[in-house]
Amino acid sequence: MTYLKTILCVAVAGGLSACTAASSEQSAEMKVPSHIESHKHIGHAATVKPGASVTINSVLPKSMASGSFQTVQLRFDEAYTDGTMSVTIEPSAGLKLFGGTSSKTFDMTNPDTHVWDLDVKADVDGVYFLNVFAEAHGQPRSFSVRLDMGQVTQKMFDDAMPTDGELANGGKLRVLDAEETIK
Amino acid sequence: MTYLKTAFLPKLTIASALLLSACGGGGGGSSTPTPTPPPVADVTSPSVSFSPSTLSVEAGASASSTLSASDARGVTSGPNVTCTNGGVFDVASNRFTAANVTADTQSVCTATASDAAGNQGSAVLTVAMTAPIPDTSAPVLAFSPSTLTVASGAAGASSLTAVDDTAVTTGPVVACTNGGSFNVGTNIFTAATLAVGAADVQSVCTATAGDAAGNEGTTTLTVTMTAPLPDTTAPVLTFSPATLTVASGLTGASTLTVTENATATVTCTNGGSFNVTTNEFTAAAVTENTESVCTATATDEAGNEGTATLTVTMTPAAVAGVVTVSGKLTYDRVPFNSAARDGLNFDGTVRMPIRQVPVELVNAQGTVLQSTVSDDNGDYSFDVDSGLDVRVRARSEVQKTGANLVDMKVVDNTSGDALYAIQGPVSEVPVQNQTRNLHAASGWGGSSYTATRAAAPFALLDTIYATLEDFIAVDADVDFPAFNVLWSTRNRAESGSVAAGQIGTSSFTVANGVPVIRILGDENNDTDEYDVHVVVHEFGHYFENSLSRADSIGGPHSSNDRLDPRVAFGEGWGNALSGMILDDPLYRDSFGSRQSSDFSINVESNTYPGSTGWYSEGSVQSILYDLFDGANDGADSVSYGLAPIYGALTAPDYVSTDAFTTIFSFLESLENQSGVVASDVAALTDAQDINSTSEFGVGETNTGGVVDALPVYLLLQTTGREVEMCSVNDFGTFNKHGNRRYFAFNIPSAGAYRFNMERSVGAISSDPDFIIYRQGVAVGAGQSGVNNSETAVINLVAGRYVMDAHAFENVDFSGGSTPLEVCYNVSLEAQ
Repeated sequence: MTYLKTILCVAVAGGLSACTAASSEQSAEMKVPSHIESHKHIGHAATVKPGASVTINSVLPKSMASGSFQTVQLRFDEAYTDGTMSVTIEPSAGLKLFGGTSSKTFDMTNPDTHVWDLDVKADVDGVYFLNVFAEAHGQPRSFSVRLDMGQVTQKMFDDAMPTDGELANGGKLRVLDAEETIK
Repeated sequence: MTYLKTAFLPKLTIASALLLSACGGGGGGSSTPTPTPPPVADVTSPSVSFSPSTLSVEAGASASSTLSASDARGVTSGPNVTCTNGGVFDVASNRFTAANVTADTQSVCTATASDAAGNQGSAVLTVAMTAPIPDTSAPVLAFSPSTLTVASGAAGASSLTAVDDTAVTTGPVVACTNGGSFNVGTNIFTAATLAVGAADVQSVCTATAGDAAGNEGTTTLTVTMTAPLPDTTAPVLTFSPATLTVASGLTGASTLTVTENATATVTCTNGGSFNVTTNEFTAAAVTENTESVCTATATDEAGNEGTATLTVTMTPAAVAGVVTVSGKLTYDRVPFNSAARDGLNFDGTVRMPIRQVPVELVNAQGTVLQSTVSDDNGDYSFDVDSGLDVRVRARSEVQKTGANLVDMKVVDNTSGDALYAIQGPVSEVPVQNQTRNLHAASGWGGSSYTATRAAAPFALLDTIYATLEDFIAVDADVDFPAFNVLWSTRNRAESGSVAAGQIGTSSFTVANGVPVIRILGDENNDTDEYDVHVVVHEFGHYFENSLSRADSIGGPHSSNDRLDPRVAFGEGWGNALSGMILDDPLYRDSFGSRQSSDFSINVESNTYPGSTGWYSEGSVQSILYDLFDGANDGADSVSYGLAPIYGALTAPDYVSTDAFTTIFSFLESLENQSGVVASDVAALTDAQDINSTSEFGVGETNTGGVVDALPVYLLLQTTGREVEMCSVNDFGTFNKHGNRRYFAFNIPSAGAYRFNMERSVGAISSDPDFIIYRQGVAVGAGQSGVNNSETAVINLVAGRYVMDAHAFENVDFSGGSTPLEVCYNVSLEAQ
């Protein structure tokens, strides 16, 4: 067992994404006295909103070039012993799915991780997202999988996921424009 | 032919000789002449006849009679006809034409014909030439209708017809009396123009037409021409508005309208004036409030006069100085569609007040000049010097001191937790009071967000503020430790860096010592700022963490899962609380493209197939909501409201319980609340197959499908006696029922104690771990990676503890371990 990996993964709130993006900021506050030496979190994940007990991990190529199809592997784990899990994928603007397939079902009597290999393509470099919607036992769970295609810059991310308003007061305020009516 | 008629012989002799000569006969003088009979004389006259021989023919007319003339030897002359008294017989056409007699007259036509012998035959045609009957019938004329009533100068229709037994040769022509006229071509009568108020006048129109015989017919149309009534209606004048307040020397607008296109004039008292063209009142220079009454007058052509008044309070001129800048703060609240699963209804967006937030008056340089707090209607007010260039800014936070401490902020976690605010543009404060209303719009453009989503932070703030109010209503002294709500348009369902928006999903946690509620804002994937049940649910976790106690280990969950009972209680509480606060048991969570989908949980439901019990979030929310609500259903016969639930969760015995916080510890605390009837609670717990109300679940009989699940807490002695437990993955991993086993033990005196776990049966290889808690706080753990064994010596003070023991493979949420089923012997021994 690789404990470093374990630490990172437990830290993912709700375990909702790939371990590769884990951050200690995700963890709940540890109520552990300092004299306890442990390689593992005395882990409380965040208390997440209700929904399907489904988690997702993505396995992405080390680099993904634009202009050609790239294979992305989505790995789903669920906590059920029966039924089917349906998964729908909606790519963000500019991202194409090979063959257009965007829905798939998985047999949850199979205890193994459910794997979906997707071929995706973007014509230009940029940040794209797969909007992934899973449903199991009538409960949904949404996921977002970020895909960096080609040479990605911060501006590309900003364009793909813009923020509203402007910072003010030395960054202490994010000011949003209001509709003002003067009488 | 009878040739021997001697009487005619001499006459025939010459003729016969001629005939013979001519024929060459008789030659040969030398022959003996044959006696030639003498020619027979023609003594027969040609036969002449008329058929018929009598006629009656009207004067000037003609009629036929066939004239025949024949002769055995041929008619050589004629027939010729002569008629008396002007009649004429045309031999060629056999027609007699009568003379234009004016009295009956007989005409005798004699026809004669002759033959070569001079015999003449004749015949007579006797014709009665009759004089013509005179035309004495006049044309018949008619008006339909024959009477009309036509207003002065107006027109009315009547159809005129004229017929004659021969033909109308003249007319019809119409002549009307008293100024009326009738147009024969259009059949329209036009009345004369009569004076207003005059008596009615009758016009008789006579139509005349004639025929060739000179006969003339007539008819009449009788028309009553009515005079116009006199105008007694005065013009209507209106000022809108009818009252104004106008500062000295300044203008105010009021629209003056007048009917009948009459021209109005306006006079005002006390020096005011009104411009009819611009509809502006100009106040006189006054030093104290002075009323000016403007009277508008208009007269129509009939002399009728109308009036209206405008009352203006002329106020003294504002002096540059302190004025009031006030207004209302609002935000867009987007509801759900009424149809289940249809997500948000942007068309149903409503404006709500932004309540209890700091409002600032900021100058152009960004300096805050004044601050206040909006009231429960979103209203604010500043007294400020006129002439300043300022803007109004509202911050997305609630800060309260006094009876109820509140410190909550909605911040942008992708910008260093910058506090959200809305603001208007900088503009000069006028010399009069001014209203500046600020609205935070949703930014929805019809099919996507197309503008700043300014409403989102304030929607979140208001949802939670409403929740705080409900708790304050049951505890007037309650304080709410500081917490933040993290929201951003970048907050998405991807784990990683919260600062980059990778929050996983909407959740509650504690980060850097601060409780935080993280809310999704990822358009077309999952946004929760308007999903009020989600927001209140996560606030429920904050409540447990900050005002009560939460031992939940978190992780994914749903109402039908079999969960670790700490998770089941925390999540069931969150769901039930959302129904309580929002007075709506239907928890809804929108997601998907255009936020147009949602799923729901009805916390009033009492049935959770396969997961009913102490490990069920569904059972917990059913019990809690039934304790609260006023609707009795199933085993629910109570309506306690929020107070006893709040009391149970904040009771010192509950907050400091030695057990984990589960439905059991809650029920024990609840039964100590005033007014709570144990039997009523038992009815609810029985219905959910929960069989204990002691904090350690003593007596519970429902295993939830896990053989080793009971008792809920295994007891450890400090003697080293081994107790077997199992960790299974029958219902999933990390936070599911059977993953972890609870122990309880007493430490009699402070000192070092050895905890030991050794594999007994099950999976050949596994990693046993344990965590020790004292009143909800982790105080020790054994989390080495040693295979099949875990040992730790931990210094503990005297007291009661609980322990969570498990196979790491069943709680490893990374997906890096293979879940398994394994049992261990656990022991505790003083060192």
